[in-house]
Parts: sequence; structure tokens; C-alpha cells
Amino acid sequence: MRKVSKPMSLRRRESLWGYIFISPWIIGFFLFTIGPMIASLIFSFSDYNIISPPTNFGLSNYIKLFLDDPDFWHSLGITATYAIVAIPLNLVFGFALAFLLNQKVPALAFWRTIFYIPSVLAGVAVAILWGLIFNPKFGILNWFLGLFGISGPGWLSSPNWAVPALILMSLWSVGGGMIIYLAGLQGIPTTFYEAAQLDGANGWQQFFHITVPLMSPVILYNLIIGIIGTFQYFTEVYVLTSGLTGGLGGPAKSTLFYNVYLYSNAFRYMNMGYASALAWVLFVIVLLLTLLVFRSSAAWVYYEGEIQNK
Amino acid sequence: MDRKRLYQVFALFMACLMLFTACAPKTGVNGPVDITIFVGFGAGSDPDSMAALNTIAEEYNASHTDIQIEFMFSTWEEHTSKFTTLLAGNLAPDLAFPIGIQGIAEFYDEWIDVGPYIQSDNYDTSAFYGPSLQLLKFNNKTIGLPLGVYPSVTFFNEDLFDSANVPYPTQQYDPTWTLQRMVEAAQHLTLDENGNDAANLNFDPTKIVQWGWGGWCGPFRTVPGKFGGNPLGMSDDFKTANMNTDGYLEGMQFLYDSIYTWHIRPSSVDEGSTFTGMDFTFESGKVAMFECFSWASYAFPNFTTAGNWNVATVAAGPNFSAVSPVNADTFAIPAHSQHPDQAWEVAKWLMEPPMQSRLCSIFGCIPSRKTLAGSWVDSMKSEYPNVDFQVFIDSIYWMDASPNNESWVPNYSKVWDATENAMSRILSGESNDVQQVMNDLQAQVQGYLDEYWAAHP
Repeated sequence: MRKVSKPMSLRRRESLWGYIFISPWIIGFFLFTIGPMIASLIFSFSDYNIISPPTNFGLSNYIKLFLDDPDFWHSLGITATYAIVAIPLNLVFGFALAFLLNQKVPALAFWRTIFYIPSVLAGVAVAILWGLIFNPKFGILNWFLGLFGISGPGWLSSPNWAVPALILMSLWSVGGGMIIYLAGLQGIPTTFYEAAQLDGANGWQQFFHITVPLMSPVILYNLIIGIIGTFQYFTEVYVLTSGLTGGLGGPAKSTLFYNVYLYSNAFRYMNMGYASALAWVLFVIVLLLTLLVFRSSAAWVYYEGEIQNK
Repeated sequence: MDRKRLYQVFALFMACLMLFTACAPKTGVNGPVDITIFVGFGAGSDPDSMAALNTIAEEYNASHTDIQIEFMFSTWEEHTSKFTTLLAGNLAPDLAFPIGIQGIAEFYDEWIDVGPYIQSDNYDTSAFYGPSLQLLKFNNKTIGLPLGVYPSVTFFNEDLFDSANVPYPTQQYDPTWTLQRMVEAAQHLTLDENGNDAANLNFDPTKIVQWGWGGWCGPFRTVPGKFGGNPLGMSDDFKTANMNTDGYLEGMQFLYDSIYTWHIRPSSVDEGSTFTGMDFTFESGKVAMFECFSWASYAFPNFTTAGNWNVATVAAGPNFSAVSPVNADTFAIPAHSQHPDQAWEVAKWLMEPPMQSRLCSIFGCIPSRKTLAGSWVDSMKSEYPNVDFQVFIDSIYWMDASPNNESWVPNYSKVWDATENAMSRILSGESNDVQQVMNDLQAQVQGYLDEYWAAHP
């Protein structure tokens, strides 16, 4: 007697088909994201030069990194300095631009497009462009400073000015954050402002007591994205400093950002094990900073629904 | 659709996926052996060179049935990561070509000794310049045969020398043409915007419009040898760094003085501004002379635009001994190659005189075979009749063959970067304390040596 298999329930069939359809992504995710992450975690505890199998498993990479590697602390310091200045600067500029472009000004769409376009350009192209802007003799920046009688520095060739130059350059992509702020600003109900006006609030009071609190979730989002992006800063430095005296991260290691140092270890010194340790330390740093920001958000981020439920 | 059909679809999908990922190139059992030649350790990966090399591959493949060759190209910036990835993926190329001393040093343990091949084939190496053979010998291991060399010479702008009424530097190796005399000449050739030269008391070093000297275009390791030091900057057993003594300290002091004391050379800040877009400051017509390798030949058209130029010998150091830093091109056979014997056969074909000449014309090197020197000089002369190209040939006998400025040291790239960073600190003005910079370098390099020997007891 032929055994008749029990048909699957609709729910199970839908689930199965769902898994089948997303399986290319899941397989790719495990093969090309989770797999390499696990491998790099294992490598980080070993001496691994890519060519030979990993050896000497232990904590030596991490011990050396924290206790015996001045370049690790130097690169972390440069990255932190950049982050401390560039992130707030980008938050403020992005917010200010969005606020201005949320007003009723002529040719609004044109201005929004103009300010957003730079953030669409690829990092390498932007770096090359800014290399020209920063040129001390022929660049537009020093020409502009010259109009005010200021003799501009050698932006990228001077160890003192290289990081400030990169911070200045970071404002180029402020349009990306601006668009998100703009969407947030347009989501604020006008009734809040009308009520505030009836209560006699002036423009500044409306800004600080309505706009900023209601925009705080967007600020939180941009802050976290900014932290992650800043600690992954690499392309611009790679393009702008590779040809300088002193090489990548120059002049005189003044632009030795964390990821530049990580890259050098992985692909110049062939210390993939040590580079993996650097990558995991970076991961933990970014994770901790993100958690810290999330934890602090209870004190300064306002969620409309949350308050209403209280 | 029932469960069975679903499983069938899923199994088919997985089978396709595995088939796709399992696809890998294979060599026929009885067919010709495929030899992959990795290009990326030096010259050869610009579009013109790639086209020329591919033509050579077509010619080789048309005339050989047992071996077929294919060039695999990489940019210089990516050569390390690409080559290591190929090795790790068990896809090692069979030849690295062209490759310089630096490329050899970066992967020193990866190259096989071709000495046994040279011996078993009774290969005639007497046809090559002696120093060029020395370049490729490391600890009793011979890496390849010398394809070409790039000795250093002094390039000078005749127009600027004529204007300043300063005699040209010598074109015959002469121990009295020293760095000190070079500095004296350069001071007369360095001008401020008022036309005062650097030897004049009224000279304004903040308003320089013309420099007498553009420096040495090579890495810092080309410098100590000029001052009687060892270019490697460490003891013979590679265990003790000697970076704050001898030639290293004197060389760095000379660099510092050339910028900040004698004012004859632009700083790296000046180089990043006044000379933007140029590979060599000499291309500006505002620099009277500089020392560089012969691979600067790709910029000769720009030199010509800048003025009438010529070449002279390198200046001798304080001990009256001239050292012409050299780069070189050769081939190397990776230890991971599946076909080292066939790779050697291909390498020999590439080193045959007509092909050597042709390859050097692609890469810009001077053929290391003595019989080819005359035709190289003639060919260069036809393009630049004013220039004395014999100086390049003469310089081969003055080159830093062993140890070479690119020779292997432990923790090679780290030591290299540390040395370049020390030079950058001085050239950029980040520090004006030469002794301190060299002490820092000494400590850093000693740390790298200790690290290496701890891992390689």
C-alpha cells in the first residue's frame, strides 16, 4: 500500500518558500560576512601572514597592541581627535543647512539639490578634488584666504595642518545628514509651533523647545552613523597621502588614522593576525561608543510616543 | 507544491551553487603547461606596457607548443595584497617579472634559488655587468638574472648653470666632485625673488624662486652609503640597529642643512605646493640639479620642456667615494609555483639579448648585458642628442650593489616605513632636531629587529 505523505500546512509552506527566496542573501551573509568575521576573530589570536597557516595562538597580539605599540595609541589618538571635532561639526552644519532649507526661500529645490549632490560623489573622486582645493599655491582655498591677507598653509604637506584639512574636507559630505534632518523637520507638526506662538514663544524658544527636542531622534541617528563612519575613515587619507614624503599616513605620521594603520599591518607588513586584532579592538570601541550614546539618549532624546504614553 | 518538490528545488539550487563555487581553472594533463607571469612589482602595469607584454605573450605562444604564457597584471599599490592572496589561494603565479630588489626583499622566503638552474644549464653570466649580478645574490641564494638596471646620475639644467655662470658638474667619475662642491654650486644657483643667490648676505630664504638642488629622489636608504655608512643601518647579523650613527646621522643632517641652513633644496612643504603635479621638481625649470635613478626617463620630455638639460656623475661623499644608488629589474620564481622548470625556460627566453633589449625599452631600464649598452646609448641619443648617456653606463660600476639600498632586512616594510617617516619629519619641518629624530628611529627599528628575532629564534 502506497504511503501518502501528509501535506504541509500553509504556514509551513509559506515559511519554507520564504527561506528559499531569501537563501541567496543568507548564504552570502554567512559566507562573506559572518564567516570572515569568525575567521578574523580566530586569526586575531595568532601569527598569520596570509601565506602560511596561522601559528602561535594566544593573546600576544592583544598584549602587544595595548602595552607595546605606540603607533596603535598614536593612530587611535588621531582618529579620536578627528572624531571629536568632525562629528559635532558635521552635526551642526547638517542641522543648520536643513533648517535653512526648510524655510520658504526662493529656488528651494535647487538649493537642496546643490547641497546634497556632493555627498553622492565617490570618496576617491572627492579626495582628488580636495587635493586640488588644498594646493597651497594654486588651490582655491589659499586663494580665498589670500583675499583677506592670510597666507594659507601647506594643508596636506604640513604635519600640523593635515588633520585640520581632513576635518574641513569632511564638511563636503554634510548633505547626506542634511537630507535626513530635512525629512525630520518636515515631520514636525505645525500645530506645535502655532500653539507656541499663541503662548508668546519667540523664534529661538520655538527652536530650542520644539524643533531640537523633536529632532533629537534624528540627531541620535546621525551621531551614531557619524561615529561609525569616522572610525572607519580611510579612503581619503589613502588617496591624499600615498604620494607624500613619508608615504601613507604622512607627512610624519600626522594622518596615521586607525584604519590606515590597520591596512598597513594587513597588506604592507603582512601581519594579518595583528591587523585582525586591530579590527576587533576597533569593533569593540565603536560598539562601546554606540552603546554609550544609546544609554545617554534616555537623557536627551525625546520620543513623542514615549512621552504620550507616560 | 508538496514537500518533496520543494526539497528537489532546494537540492537543485544547492547543487548549482556548489558547482558554481567549485569551478576552478585547470591545466590539461597532456596539453601545454600554462605559465602565469605576475606583473606588478615594478614597471609594466601601465596600459602601454600591458599591451606590449601581451604582444610578447602572443609571439611566445605562437612559437611554442609545450609552454604557453600569460601575463597577470596588478598595480604597484596592490601588488602585495594581490600576490599574497594568490599564494594563499594556491594560485601562485610561476614567475614574478619584472621585479626589483624591494619586491624580492618583501617576499624573500618565497623565491627559489635559480643558482642550480644556472649551473645545470651552464648559463653564461659573464655577459652581464658584474655589479648587476651581485645585486641578485642574497645569502648564497641567487634570485634571478639581471634584466636591467637603473643607476643614479645628477641631472642638471644647463640654462640655469649658464645664467649663474657656474661650471657644469663633471661627466667623468672624479672624486673631487664632492657633495661639498655640489652645495657650493647649488648656493650660487639658488635665487630669491630679488635675484640674490644663497651665498649672498642679502639672500632672503623666505622668498626663494629658484633652487640649486632638488635633493635625492630615492628613499632615505640611498643616502647613508654616500657618507660611508651601511645602507641597511644595522649590524651584519641584522640584530642591532645603527640608525643614529655613521652615515645615517650624517645623511639626515645633510638633508636638514640643505633645506634650513644652506637653503638650496625645497622642503616637502614647498614640494607639495610650488611643484604640484610634477613627479620631479626638476621638471619645473626652477631647480638646477638633482640626483635620480635612470627610471626617471619617463619624465625626460618634461625635463626638455623645462630647459636644456644634461647628466653628470653623482657627487662623491666626504670620503671622496662616489656611490650611485641603483634599482634593478629581474625575474623571480615563487616557491609555490607548480612549474618552476618551465618558468625557468620562459625566463631564459625573456633574457635573450633581443628580447632583453625590447623589454628594457618597455620598462625604461638599461640592459644589464654589456653588449647591449651601445645600442641603448644610441637609441637614447637619437631622442635626446644633447645628453651624455654614457654617464649612465659608467655609473653602473659605481652602484651600491651589495648591500643595495633596497636589500632585505628583518621586518622589511616596517623598517622601510620607519626610515621614510624619519626623513619626512625633517623634510616637512615637523622636527628640527636631527639627533632626536635619529634616536627615535634607532629605538623604533631596534624594536622591529627584536620583534623579528623573537619570532625567528
